[in-house]
Amino acid sequence: MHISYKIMRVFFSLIFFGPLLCIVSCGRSGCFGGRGPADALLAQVEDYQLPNGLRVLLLPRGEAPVFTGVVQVRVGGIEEPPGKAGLAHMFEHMAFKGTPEIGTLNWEEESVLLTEIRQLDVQLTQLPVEAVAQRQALVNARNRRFQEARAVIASNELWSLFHNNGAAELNAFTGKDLTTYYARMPSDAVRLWVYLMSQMVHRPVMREFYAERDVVMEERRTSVDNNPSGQLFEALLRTAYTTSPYREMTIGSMEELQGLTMADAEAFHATYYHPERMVVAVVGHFDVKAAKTSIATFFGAIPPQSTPGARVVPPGGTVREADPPREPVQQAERRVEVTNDASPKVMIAYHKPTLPHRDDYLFDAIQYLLCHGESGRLIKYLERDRQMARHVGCWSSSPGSRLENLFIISAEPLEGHSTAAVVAEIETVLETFRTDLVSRDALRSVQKNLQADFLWELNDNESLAQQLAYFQTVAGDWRYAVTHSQIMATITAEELRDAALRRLQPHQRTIAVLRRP
Amino acid sequence: MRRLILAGVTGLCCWHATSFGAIGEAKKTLDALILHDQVVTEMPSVSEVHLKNGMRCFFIEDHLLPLVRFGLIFPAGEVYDPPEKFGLSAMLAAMLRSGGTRQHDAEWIDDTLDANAIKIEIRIEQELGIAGAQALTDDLDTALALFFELLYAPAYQDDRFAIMKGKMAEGVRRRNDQPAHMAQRIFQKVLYGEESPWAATPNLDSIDRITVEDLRALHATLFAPEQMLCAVAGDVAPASLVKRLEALMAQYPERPATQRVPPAVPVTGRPGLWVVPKEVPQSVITVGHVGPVRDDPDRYALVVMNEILGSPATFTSWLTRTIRTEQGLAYEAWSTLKFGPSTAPGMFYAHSKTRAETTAKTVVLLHDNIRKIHAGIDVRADEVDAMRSAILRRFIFQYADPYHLVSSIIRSIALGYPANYLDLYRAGIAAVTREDVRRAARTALHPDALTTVVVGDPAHVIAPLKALGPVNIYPLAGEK
Repeated sequence: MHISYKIMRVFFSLIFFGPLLCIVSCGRSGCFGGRGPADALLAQVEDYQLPNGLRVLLLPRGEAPVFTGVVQVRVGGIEEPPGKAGLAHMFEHMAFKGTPEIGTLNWEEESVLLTEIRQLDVQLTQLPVEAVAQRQALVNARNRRFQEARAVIASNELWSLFHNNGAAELNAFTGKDLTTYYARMPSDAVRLWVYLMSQMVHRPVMREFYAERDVVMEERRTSVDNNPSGQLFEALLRTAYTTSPYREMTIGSMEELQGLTMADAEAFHATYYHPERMVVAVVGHFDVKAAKTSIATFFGAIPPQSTPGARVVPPGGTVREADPPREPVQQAERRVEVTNDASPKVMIAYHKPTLPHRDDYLFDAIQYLLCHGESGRLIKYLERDRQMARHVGCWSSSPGSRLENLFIISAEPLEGHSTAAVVAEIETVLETFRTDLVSRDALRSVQKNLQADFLWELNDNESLAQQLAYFQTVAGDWRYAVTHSQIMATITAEELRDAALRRLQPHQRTIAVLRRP
Repeated sequence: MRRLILAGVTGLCCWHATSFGAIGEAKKTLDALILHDQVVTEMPSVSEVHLKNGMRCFFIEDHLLPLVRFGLIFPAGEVYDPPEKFGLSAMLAAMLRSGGTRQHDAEWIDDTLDANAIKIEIRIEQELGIAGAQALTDDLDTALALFFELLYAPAYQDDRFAIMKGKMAEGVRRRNDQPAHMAQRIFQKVLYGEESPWAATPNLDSIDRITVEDLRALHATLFAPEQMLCAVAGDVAPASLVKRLEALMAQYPERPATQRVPPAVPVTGRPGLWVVPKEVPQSVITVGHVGPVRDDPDRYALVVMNEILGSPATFTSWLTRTIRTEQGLAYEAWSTLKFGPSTAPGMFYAHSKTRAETTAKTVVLLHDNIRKIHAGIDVRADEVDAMRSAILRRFIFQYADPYHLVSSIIRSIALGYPANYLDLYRAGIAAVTREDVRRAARTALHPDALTTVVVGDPAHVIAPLKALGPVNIYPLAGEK
């Protein structure tokens, strides 16, 4: 249950949408509780709540005059209404479009046009699909307003304000679980960062909505329709899940994207962008007093409002919304094939619980044992002993961690080896997991690597800010980073065998195969 | 769902109404927060040490966490690979990392590194060789000992050589799976020519021809300490590390220095329009030409120019604005400059991805923007000022991470820049004027000699592209 931010950083993309492609290796969060350096650093975290419920985590550190600031909102694909897959991510794009003050040349004129566009949209949703001519007339009218609005907007002014003031990185990403906005900036820009970010999540204006919807559809083409691995992952989720909100990728389907409207995005914002769902995390060298004052002024101005159905989360408890559909227990193996003009690849998924269930920790360890470095068992066996595959990988909590999720194994067969043969050999390795006990050395290695990974993540403002916000949002407490490793230290070989016996059986798997037509 | 939409609309109306009067106030708030000054900082203390064996090292001590990163740059490069054995350098790098050593079996090394959470990476890029290690402070000695053993005493185990050849060949077989990867490879081939070492990629024959003897011969020309640069950041004192490095490296026989001159490239390029056939819903477009060199006197002006035209650092660039924001044609629209050595100019190119139907339209927009910045009339002084100041304000990030700083110092030196290159860079950017940007664009860009490569569905993209000029079909099947 952990995000690898190193990988994220290489993406220029405005968002990243799916755990497979960018969030990897969920699971190794750990740090070793009780060890000096990490504890000393984390003891500096200033943790408080604004009266409106927004959580603030501040960690002043380092000498270089820079900081990373993260705003994370506990809203993602899970919260989308039926038929609106992709809305959470679409909204995230819109948050960059500005506010009534930023991004406009004449708000009075622009807001009139936006109201008209919104009304045309409502009319459009009331028309049946068969009313082709009437629908087209409404779309044309909407496009005319959109063109008129162009004359009174200052495109990308929000970006300019970040960029011209020294943002080295400005980005956001949406997943099934949450939405994150962040920037790296010079220290003297901390108050500006607070102001701009607060306005993005508090008072966004849905200007240029329909052009941006086209952008998002292009993003889907890049990451799914043009990308065989993206298609395979989409097919895997749709087969492994029948009712869970995790069934659809965050980016959404082309049909549903096509149907998203400005009003959808506004409703989504009004329903979910509430301060009690937000965490602000700032890490680096910055004026803490000034930051706190600005945060109180600008984030504090967001009115408190309870999300319907949301529960107050006890400290350290799991954050879970009321009642998303529960996935029925899988009784038999499922298979799906994707054909594409690309070389074969296979992905295998097994259902598992999410945190704080003990099995979630066990699968973090299993991921390490199977797929870590060069010595992971699957890597050793498939890539070297059998020489039949490359790019063997495991993901312990996909596609998210707020709901029951999947343990996924993927591999690319080398020429001359079938995906079926690769699947059979993966099963051979899992069979040994179900029968034999893992050695003490192997367990020690898992714990050592968890410790090292955790320290390397602390080493960087951005990954640290992301971690604090992430654990606060998903685990309900940023200290999960510490407790995770304390729990990991108690894992036994018997438990691992038991987890494999209970959850890694052939009848529990979903196999997705990519092959040529 | 209906209820949600209505609630949203009402909600929005309300805050429109209330926010109206507050606009003037908010504008004032914002103006007060805008920054005008460069970020002033003292560079962290970097110590430079010449080892007894001639290796030059740059250190930053940082004891906040018990972590150390260590990196080396050594003269080497894919561009020196013999064409019939292209992939040799990549294979050597991979075999140094995973082919075992004279002292230890490969499997033992992999297990030991993983068990100790030590990461070692060795790679050879077009113009440079790079090797690095990271470890917890307690494991630094183990990490360094294995690191130099891998570099200086490779065993090229047969079993690992066969595995590596199999994986590399699989990479060749899979090279046309993803249109984005195809675009990158083929644009360079069209630009420089199939035979150019600056565009070469391994093929099944060239991989097959590589022998362990070839690896040994190449290895014998690498890793002379006096030609290497090292960078270290983290929880270790330079003085003690210098002693350890000297002792470790002295265990291995001395190695002769080897001089290399990067191969020259024809600067003409191959202007025109190419389609690489691949049935995909979205075309991948690359437009550009053979580009600038590292000692170009307009270097800094070109950096500012690209910030205006298409730097991925901002959405306010001309390419993002015209292609993405205004028309929704693409998720990505950006441009970049790769500065080459003086014998071999680098590349300037712009890139976008758009659906099949809008491919020709997007190609036209890419060309138009390049033409426009070349003409220079639309380059505004305030825009130059804003971009220059943006680059200078974010320049602090060059100094923010200790390892990033020392490793970029050695990289600059290896590419022929002076050791104080970062200072020169900052001063260079600070001096750029609108006139400089216009002159640089006029000189360095060649809008009438652009090479355009489109990976896309031939059934949908060829006809509309023909309206822009003759279309060449890239012979994918004929590629080695």
